[in-house]
Amino acid sequence: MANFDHETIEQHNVVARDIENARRYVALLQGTDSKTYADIAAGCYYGTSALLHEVIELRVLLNRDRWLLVRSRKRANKFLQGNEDAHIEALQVEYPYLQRMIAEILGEKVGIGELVKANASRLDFDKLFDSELDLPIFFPTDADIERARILLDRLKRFDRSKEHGTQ
Amino acid sequence: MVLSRYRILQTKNELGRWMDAGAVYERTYHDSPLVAVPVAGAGDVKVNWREWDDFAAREREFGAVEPPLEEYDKVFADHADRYCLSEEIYTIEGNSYKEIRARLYQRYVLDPAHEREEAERRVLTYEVPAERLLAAARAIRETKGDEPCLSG
Repeated sequence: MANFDHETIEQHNVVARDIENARRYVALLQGTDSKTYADIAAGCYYGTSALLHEVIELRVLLNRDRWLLVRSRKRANKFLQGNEDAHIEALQVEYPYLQRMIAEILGEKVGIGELVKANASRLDFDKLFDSELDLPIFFPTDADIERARILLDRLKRFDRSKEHGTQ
Repeated sequence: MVLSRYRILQTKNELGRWMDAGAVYERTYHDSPLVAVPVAGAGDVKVNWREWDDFAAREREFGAVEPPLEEYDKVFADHADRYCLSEEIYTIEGNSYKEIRARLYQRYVLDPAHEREEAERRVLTYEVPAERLLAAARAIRETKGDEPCLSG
């Protein structure tokens, strides 16, 4: 098992079965050569954010179709299209977590809007902006997005150094 | 009421046919300038993650508010063999951008899901003809039993 942020894993009651399900889910939809698969496998803080996303999304989906993980990729894809709220719920957990980790580890304040735009796309920003998220989400400038991208890179570098014991 | 302009996003399916798969619409966020934003299925984005990662990277290159709707094809340019936007620009009205996005999602992303539901219904109705065939066969057998043998 990858070296995840155990405090957060416990806080969200993520157990070994959740992690295995998330692995199977990402392999089913995106393949084992996907970026998400590699991010989760790498663990640490960034990997934890990717894992949290998939676990939260999958919990919602499995509640509605407990056989989802044995469906075909096409069928699973269609199911996710019809249950987009699962993806939005996952974004609502993933990004505040990344924001908190950047604040705690790097000591930098960053907005969720710029984090989403630096890490994902306008699609996800749009969904999160229109969701019932309690946290304020503002439209970022180009400079905000660039700064968020640099902070995310620093977090990933911190993860790698932690993994190699050079921190 | 909010009025938004949009273009339909099409993708080429495995049979080489162009199918509606979403839209790109214009909206603002609080007091932001007008921004063109794609609407696409979460599943499609996950399955075709390489392409959508490229689109996200391309969006970032253009900056927070560019390109405008008329030029949004630029975002899909590297995968123009699989993605295209309608030349026509349509308009849609709603009480909010949230409602507009939901309606575009329903119309252009979930429509193929209706095909799936129909496919599922076909599976269900399959049992009905099978049952009917069985009943018909039973009826024929019973009828044959009742009928006198013509050759006899």
